[in-house]
Amino acid sequence: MVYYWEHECGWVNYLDPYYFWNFEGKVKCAGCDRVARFKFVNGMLLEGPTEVDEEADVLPLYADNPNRGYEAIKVGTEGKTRPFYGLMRDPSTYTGKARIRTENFRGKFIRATPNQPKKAGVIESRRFAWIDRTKSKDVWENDDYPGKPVYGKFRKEE
Amino acid sequence: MSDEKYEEKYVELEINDVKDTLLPRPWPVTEPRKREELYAPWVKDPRDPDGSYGEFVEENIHYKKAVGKPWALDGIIVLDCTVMGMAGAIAASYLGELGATVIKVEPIEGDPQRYWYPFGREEYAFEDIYTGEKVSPTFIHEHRNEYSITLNLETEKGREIFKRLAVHADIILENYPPGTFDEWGIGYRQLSRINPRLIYAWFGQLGQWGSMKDRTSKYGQWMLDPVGLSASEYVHSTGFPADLLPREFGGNPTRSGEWVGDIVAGVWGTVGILAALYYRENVSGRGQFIEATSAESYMEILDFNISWYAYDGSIKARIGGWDPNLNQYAWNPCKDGYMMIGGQSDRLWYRILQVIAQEDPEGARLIAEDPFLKEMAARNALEGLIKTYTVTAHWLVNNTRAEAEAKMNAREVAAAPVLMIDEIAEYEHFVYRGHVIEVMDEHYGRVLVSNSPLAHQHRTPARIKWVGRPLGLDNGEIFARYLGIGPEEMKKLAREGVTTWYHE
Amino acid sequence: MEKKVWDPSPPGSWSFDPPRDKDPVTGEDMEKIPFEEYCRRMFDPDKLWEKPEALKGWRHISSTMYILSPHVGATLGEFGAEVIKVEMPKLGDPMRHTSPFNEAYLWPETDHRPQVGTGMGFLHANDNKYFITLDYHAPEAKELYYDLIRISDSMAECYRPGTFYRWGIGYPQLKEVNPRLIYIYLGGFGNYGPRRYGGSYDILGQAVGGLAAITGWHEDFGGHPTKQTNWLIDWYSGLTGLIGVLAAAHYRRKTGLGTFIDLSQISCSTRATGYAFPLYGRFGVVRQRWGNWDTLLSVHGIIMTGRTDDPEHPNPQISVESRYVMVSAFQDDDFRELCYIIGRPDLWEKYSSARERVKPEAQIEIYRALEEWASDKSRSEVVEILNNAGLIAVPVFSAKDVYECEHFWERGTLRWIDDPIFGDVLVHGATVKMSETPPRVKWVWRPIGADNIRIYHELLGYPLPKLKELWEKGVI
Ligand SMILES: [Zn+2]
Repeated sequence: MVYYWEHECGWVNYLDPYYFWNFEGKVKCAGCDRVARFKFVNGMLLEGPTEVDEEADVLPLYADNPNRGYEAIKVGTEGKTRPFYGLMRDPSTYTGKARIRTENFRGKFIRATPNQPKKAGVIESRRFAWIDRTKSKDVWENDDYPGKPVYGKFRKEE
Repeated sequence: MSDEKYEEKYVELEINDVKDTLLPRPWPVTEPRKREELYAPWVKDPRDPDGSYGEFVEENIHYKKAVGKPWALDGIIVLDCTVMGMAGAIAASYLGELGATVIKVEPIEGDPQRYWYPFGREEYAFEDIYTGEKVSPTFIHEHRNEYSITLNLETEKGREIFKRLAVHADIILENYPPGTFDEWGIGYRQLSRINPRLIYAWFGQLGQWGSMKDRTSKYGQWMLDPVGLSASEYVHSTGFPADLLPREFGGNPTRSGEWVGDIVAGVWGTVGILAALYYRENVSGRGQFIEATSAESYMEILDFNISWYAYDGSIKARIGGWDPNLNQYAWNPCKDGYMMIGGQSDRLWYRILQVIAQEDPEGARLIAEDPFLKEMAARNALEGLIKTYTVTAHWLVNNTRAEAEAKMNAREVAAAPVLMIDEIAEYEHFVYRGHVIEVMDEHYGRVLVSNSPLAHQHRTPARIKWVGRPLGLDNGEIFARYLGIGPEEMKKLAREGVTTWYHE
Repeated sequence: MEKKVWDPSPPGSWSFDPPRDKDPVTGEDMEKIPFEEYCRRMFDPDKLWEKPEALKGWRHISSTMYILSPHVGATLGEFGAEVIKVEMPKLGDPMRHTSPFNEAYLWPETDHRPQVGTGMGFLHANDNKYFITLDYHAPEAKELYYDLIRISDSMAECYRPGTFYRWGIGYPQLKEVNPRLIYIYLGGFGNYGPRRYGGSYDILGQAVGGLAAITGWHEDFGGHPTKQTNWLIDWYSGLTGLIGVLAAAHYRRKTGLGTFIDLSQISCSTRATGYAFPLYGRFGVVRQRWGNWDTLLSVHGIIMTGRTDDPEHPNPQISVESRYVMVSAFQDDDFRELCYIIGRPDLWEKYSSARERVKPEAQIEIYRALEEWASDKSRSEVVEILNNAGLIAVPVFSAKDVYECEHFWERGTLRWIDDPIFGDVLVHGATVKMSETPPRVKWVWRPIGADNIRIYHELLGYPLPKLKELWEKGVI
């Protein structure tokens, strides 16, 4: 079974389980561009991987290299991995990281950007009239925050 | 039931006709373990060390202890006028299972659902033991605890009788095309004058008002589920993306196998009805007009989808058996079917990895070492899903569902197989809890049905008393009880085509 | 939002003056106006904030996580109950860490982790709630919790069975504290039975409960079971539980006694399988998946058209996917018309009986012919042709189509709210339309522990120094 196909070049190609569950064809290694033939039937690898000197039918979606600190070839890298069209937007704008915004789709304020400083108060309590809806990111980013929380403090005291 | 006997029956089967393949199975084939075994002293249970909680639950909550307990909605009278759509049936059956008196008002020829057989196969019909009258399993299953009367609302006389019935009703359910009842003079604005306490609920796909309201075809065909599902982006965001399953194999937007838009509309409607009932009883003394649609009910279930679009223009895409919000949280193919594994928090996520590492250390290493997968939220990125599920499926290929389930459960990971219908009926836990039960019906004999989810309660559990009824079975009782119409007049009405005269 | 002047008896107030005879503003005879106009006035979304709430005075404690159990409280909150959500101090609900593809977050989650936001996944199952923190493990927690329960009508929890009992706050203990309490447990496997200690999720309910077995394309076509999008079994089971809670409240009016509801979401999934179990029990036939078609009616399914509506759009969900149409013509006349439109009168002759055309072979042939006919048309063309012919066809909407659909705005289903903390958020409001007591969304959620003072100090009356002490101990 070679769902993560560790090629001799050191790159690991991830052959996602649904697409390759019943599959016969040639796959190109995202790391070194060499092509191998696979045959999967109901998940079982019946033939391959056999290296062939032909054009590939399909590219993997994702590959990484454990020997280089898991350097990754992301989805949709041209000529290396196939793109994923089932995304929610133009695939080129997809990052997989939090999108920081102060404006929503229709241009109004939305608080989708890291925290403002803690206001006064014994308990982390927030009233409904809280802080100004300032949009200046500099203000938000320069503030100090209390250190890491001390979990289970009361148990230690017991 | 021993194995040989079952096998023997199977071998002897001679198939000359579709009917020969219709063999009732014994149910359940395997009895669940007994209570004494489950709560035996050697069953270690850290949450309930002395067994007192287990005992309390078994004595008070077990569905078999429900017999004789009171009914939550005792005395509430519901007129269910819905036909064809499932939403009204769901609402009516929930109300009926909780003890309301639900009267299904059907046209003379009956609710068309009665004759919708799966794949048009009449062999799948259930027959009335007394009359041989046929009815579809859908109708049987969805119209539990409902009385059936026939009343032709298209006649003046029928509507007059309906008005007299509505005087007694607390709740009316209806799903005719918008304005039909109003045109007939039995809509909310007319009935609320003769019965101000009336709660009147309309069910539909898109609504009875607004620019895209429900409509009929030029031949009068109604809109039915999945119209609402299609219009609510449910269909758009369900199914496999073409990247994981080519379109010709089904990598398309996919509707639900069951009419879930109607089911959630029915449930939402019931919630609205009961909130209105609470308000009527405690505050106003007056009923109200309620409207529940499949599209809008399902939209609420779609959760953040529309908010996400308003956030940055993102459109929720379909992603098959996975989920873009949590990792791990998916089903993937395994040796004998599909296996669902879930565990998002670090604690559970690494437990899953430990199980995989037992048999596939290289795969587990690829995940455990990767710095990108160390943070919980970051794992939800598409790359995280692809990598995690590829490695998991690689492990699953060598494991059957039962093996994978046992290995994951040993570490308290929420994991479960994708079960087929027959397997659900046999799954020990569900048999023990009566998720699926056999109802002994007066007219249809033993019928296997899914139980009400509200059957497990301390004081007012829901129960199934009977399944769907023969058409017009209760005409005699209901007409006599609420309208003072006896057999002689009923026969006369039947001749006029207002109702039917049911006799066994 | 424009400000409204407070008027004790506004002319449009229907709370104690339903417009049975004449419209309070225009004086029109409500009996005479067209039905659609009547509905528009009865359900007018602009009148939302002038109408009373159904569950005024109800208090609910939500000791919950994820979607299933919080949803009970959120819906009670939409109907006007005061709902208090209890989270673990500093950690909060794990659902806060769920966001589609890790992209959409709102801030803040809590003051302790300024760089961590709350994901979109948390958005709607917790609206209108007050958020407090309490560590149930702490010895002080039990009394605090009892104080909350004493003044509450209902509570929901989702911890593994017996956990609350071990902490001294299980149903057997709480019913002594408050006999009126309606206690609902929501989980996967329930409180009794051989697998009672299994954890559960929405997807688990779909998998083992039966929905997965019947949703998706048939394996003969190469399909796999498909997950119903976004947590159907969490949301719908939560509502089912709420039916139990509200019905129990009706019973409680007579007796003054609450109840315990043990709700299994798997059971809700099993309940939603239609004829599957009667069919299996009587005939031994195991219901399978049937893709985008219908097992009871034909034609009544979803087809793919050849072209999309906007091939140039940058979003593949529009440029590639806006090409599906739901076509419904199952009655004889409709089906005949459809066959003539697609130029296949032979299909009508072959399958003129409704029973015949639901047969699997017939469906394969009919839908194939439909898709062939649509292969050179776009989604809107197909919808237009069929609608103009008087048949029923609906495009498969994406979020963009829903957003741009006037219908849902008119009806108040889509609604921008001005959330006190998070700003301009679009929500699904008023899911069920009610003429007198419509449900409403006030805010989407609040940070962890945001209402500790509001609840512990202002509601229960604990002095602030005492709270500071509990805070420092990590109890709240
Ligand atoms: Zn290579």
